[in-house]
Amino acid sequence: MATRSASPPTTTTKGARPQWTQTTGSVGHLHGRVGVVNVGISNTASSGYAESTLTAQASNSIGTDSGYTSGPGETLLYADGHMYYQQYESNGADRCPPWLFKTQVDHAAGDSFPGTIPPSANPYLGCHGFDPNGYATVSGNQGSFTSDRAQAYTEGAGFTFFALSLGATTGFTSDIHHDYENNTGGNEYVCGNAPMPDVPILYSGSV
Amino acid sequence: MPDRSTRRRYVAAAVAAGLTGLCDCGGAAQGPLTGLASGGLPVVDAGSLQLAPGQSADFTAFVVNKTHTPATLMSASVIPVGGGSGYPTGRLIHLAVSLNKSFPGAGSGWPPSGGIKVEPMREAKIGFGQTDIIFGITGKTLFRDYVVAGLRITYLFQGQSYSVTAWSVGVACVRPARLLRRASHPSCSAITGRIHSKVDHMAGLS
Repeated sequence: MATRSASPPTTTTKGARPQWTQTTGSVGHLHGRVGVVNVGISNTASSGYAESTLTAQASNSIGTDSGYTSGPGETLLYADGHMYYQQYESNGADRCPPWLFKTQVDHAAGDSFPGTIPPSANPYLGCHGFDPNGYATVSGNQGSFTSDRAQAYTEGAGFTFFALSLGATTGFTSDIHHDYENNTGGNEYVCGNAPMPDVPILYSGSV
Repeated sequence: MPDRSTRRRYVAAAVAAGLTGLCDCGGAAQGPLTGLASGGLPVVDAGSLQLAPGQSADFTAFVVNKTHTPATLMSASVIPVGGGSGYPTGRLIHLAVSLNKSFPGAGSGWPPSGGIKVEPMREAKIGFGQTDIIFGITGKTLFRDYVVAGLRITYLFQGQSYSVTAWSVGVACVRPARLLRRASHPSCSAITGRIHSKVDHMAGLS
């Protein structure tokens, strides 16, 4: 959030930010709605990720982490897990319209299990030097990179509650964690179908 | 409460004005740079890395120029993780801007490896859209885990000085060099989830 000052050193002013009120259930209780979401990691065949050191998680930063670890030689890994969603309504703070709504993952049930519908593989064949949208490097020795997309789906007026695509048929889900941990000794790369890191679909590999 | 048609008009006006970010609808005057956002809320990415004492752990923060007029980046400082995280704040030792849309999610050493092209951040002119600001932090004490919540970036735009917050969790776990390649060593990334949650809260996501 940007702030403004007349001249250095800067001073901080609080920016406009809508506040949100829940319209269904309450945080920490199993209200709202639940859906199965999936997360996946698409590897190249040569990726060190496929050496039984990779964990796929369906989780979010608010809730419970869970996941399972791939087996040796797996090159396409995915997991399903149950997520609880809540709907929120803006209270109109800071002059924002009070009738905007958002739907957000409230917490994960922590019951990730092997997925049943595999996401698609990396169409660019690799990240480093292949993906026109660029890539993120993840250093070896247990470097990790997370693009947290456990965020809101904004609905605006005339909303449809829970108008979310849960990724069951479209590949990787876009609104939960994609968490990559590199247990190899060299760089691994993470890329996606749009400029990183705000990417609906992520891929990874050793190239 | 306005009726539905009135609501729609308000929303349409907001969209037409390019205010779909929801966070800028009528607040105090702000500069043209914002942190990366999705659906009107900040995107908070996170990286973690084990490193030897004094080595640079490289992460990336993201800003977006909403105008087609360049802004000039001037300086940056790390944002400590609030809320009594219990971890010391990493010391900022490097700053650069990516030139090829690629960046370290969690990299070691400086300049960044893996084909990432950079230029110094200071006085870099950034145009419309996303800019990846790469930063290196370090710590000197073995077995301590150093954390940051992101960068506070100062820039010039049309003669005015502004600053912008870019959330990006960085966790640098300082370990002896002999342990860095041991897969059985406890993972530094386990800390990252807890810090990430705290920074999500700082960013207004929870």
